Amino acid sequence: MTTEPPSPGISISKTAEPSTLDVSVGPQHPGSGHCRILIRVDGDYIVSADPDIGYVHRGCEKIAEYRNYVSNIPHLERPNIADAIHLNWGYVLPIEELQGVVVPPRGKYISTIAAEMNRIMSHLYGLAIMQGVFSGHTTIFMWAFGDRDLFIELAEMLTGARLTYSFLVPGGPRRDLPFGFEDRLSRLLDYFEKRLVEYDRIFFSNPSVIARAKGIGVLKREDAKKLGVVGPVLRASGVKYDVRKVEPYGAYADLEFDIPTFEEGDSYSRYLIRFEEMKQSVRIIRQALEKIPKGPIARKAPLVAPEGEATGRVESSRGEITYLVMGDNSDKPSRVKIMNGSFRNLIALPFLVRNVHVADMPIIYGSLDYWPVEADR
Amino acid sequence: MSTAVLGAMYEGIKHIFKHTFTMKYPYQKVLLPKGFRGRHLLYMDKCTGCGICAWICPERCISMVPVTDNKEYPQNPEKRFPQYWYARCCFCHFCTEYCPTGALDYTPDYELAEYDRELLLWSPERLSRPPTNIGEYQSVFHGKDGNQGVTFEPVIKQKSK
Amino acid sequence: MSQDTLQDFAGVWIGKMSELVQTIIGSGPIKYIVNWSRMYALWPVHITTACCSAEFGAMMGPRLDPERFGMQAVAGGLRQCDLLIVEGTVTKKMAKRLKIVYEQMPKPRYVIAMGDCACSGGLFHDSYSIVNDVHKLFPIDVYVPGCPPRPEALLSAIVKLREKIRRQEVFA
Repeated sequence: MTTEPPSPGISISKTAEPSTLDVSVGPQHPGSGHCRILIRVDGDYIVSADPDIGYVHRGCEKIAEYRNYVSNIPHLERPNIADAIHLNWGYVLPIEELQGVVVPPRGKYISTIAAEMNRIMSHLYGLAIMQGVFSGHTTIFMWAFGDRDLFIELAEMLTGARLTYSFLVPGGPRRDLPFGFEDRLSRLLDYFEKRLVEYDRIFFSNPSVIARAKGIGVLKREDAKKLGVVGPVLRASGVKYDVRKVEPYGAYADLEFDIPTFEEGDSYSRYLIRFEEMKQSVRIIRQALEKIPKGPIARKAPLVAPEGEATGRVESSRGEITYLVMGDNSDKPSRVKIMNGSFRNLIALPFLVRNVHVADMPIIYGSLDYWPVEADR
Repeated sequence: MSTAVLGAMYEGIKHIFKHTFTMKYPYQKVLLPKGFRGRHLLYMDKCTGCGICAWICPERCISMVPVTDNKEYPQNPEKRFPQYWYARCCFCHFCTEYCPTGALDYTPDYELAEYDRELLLWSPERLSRPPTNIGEYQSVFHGKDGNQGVTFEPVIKQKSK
Repeated sequence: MSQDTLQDFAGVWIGKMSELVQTIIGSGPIKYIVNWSRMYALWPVHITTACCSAEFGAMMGPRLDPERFGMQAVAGGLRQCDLLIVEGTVTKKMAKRLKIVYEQMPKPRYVIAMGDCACSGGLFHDSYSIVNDVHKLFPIDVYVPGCPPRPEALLSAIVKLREKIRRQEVFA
């Protein structure tokens, strides 16, 4: 094995004061893995923190240069398999723009339904592990994971895989809604709405959860704008910004939904914003199932993209994802660049964990819903 | 506040009397939907050996190999068929979709674990055998509008008319 | 008697005793009991090398409750763990840590390579930053293909590993 160069950006242990102690959290710890956070503690308080990322850097952007446009889809959605369809969609949108292919309305509706189902799954995953396990609440882990599996079953029915769908190709989705899908989905949504009430009672209104999360890790509106955080973390700080409204893609322009925001900007409001977004996702799916038009689902797209560059923006469950794709008249892209929500939200972590108890760090880390693989790409 | 604590406790205790969600896996297997992307099934009487599957494969896990058996394949005189290395296949099934003759198909077979890495190399003959371990359980909602929870129950096979 | 000869004497005696103990334990019924207890106490290490951890979480979830097989929910301490599940891609940065984790585990220890990336490099086999040959870092008992494998597939690998443990010698 080659010797490892010192990680860039980590300057924590150079100027140590005698009363402080440096602790390395991770990469192997009972919560999540593949991210190390170097923290300096003074007694029980964190003086400073420095996330050491790059444990899962797999070079997605480089690999994308030696595979053709369709073959790129599977590995470009691997960075976030809890939310695979958004990474997939963000990559497909610029290619369609380059090729001048317009997806038929039914294809757009199917993509929207699949994406909103995936948002619910991803928020349930975050609720189970990032928020449930990290705050020591095992019941919500079991409940949220159990209900996530029911959504996964339907996603399996639609796309043929549990998490890594590779569902959208340039031109539209790969499959039409299967027989009996709408009925099963609306029954599941009925069940899920009842479960949301129970989630509220056992987790979000639970005084022990409120005591641990309320007022911890406050990110003010101005700071959130300055740091450039995106997605639920930004909206929990009171900024009403959502790509689905600002620059509608898919079928979002035809559908009615709200963007929930909270003013407090603490960990508890970041918990709640995902809970509210799940309710909105249920509403979007219900509308989409009603309004879905008939017709073809996909157009035939060429395998070659012309010269030029295009960007695609989608609102994933962890924030905005921007893809830049550059074509050069061949069947392979000459450059693919990904900017995602996890990486941008991690920037807030060192600011949030200053002068808090060590025991509050998992809460703040969990409330950011950070997915290390996505940030490392 | 005390009412909220009691509410949370009640919510948890209520579920003791509901259905168990756990599926007893090695004995109960879930019935996978049609078109589930498990391992591939190769129809050797349809494959022409064109190699489009190997071209579209994102991770280059397909190689076209000659088959040494006594049968004759009129559509494939060179007897070249795809061979899959499942240690690398990501089950995207672009090969199945791009196959011009429909020689590849989806199967609900996912139990591919092996003690040895070399056994993950599936020859065309092995790929052409249909799977045997297919589950028959399905998640079922209970009570009015699924208010009572979910269990796994065997799928009732409808009689063919 | 000098210190050295005393130690030699003790060493010979302890060596003979441990040989005797090994032959007794390695024989029929006791071996069965030892292997049975190992089979029902496979505690996994929680080191998530990449994205297969999502399906590892689903395997640990309520649907396929692996505590039926004596698999505890993930423990933080490596000294109590028997099973290392390599959950996905091993990057060059992570490989060093993974090797340290493996060496810290007490014997007997078992390794499952979960996912294509841990088996052979998978989708990222031509990347500049990952380790394709995880089996060269440490011996691997069961390979589970899939990208990611279904939780049931991972559980079937654990069932296979239990078969292997049932048949193994106590002091291998």
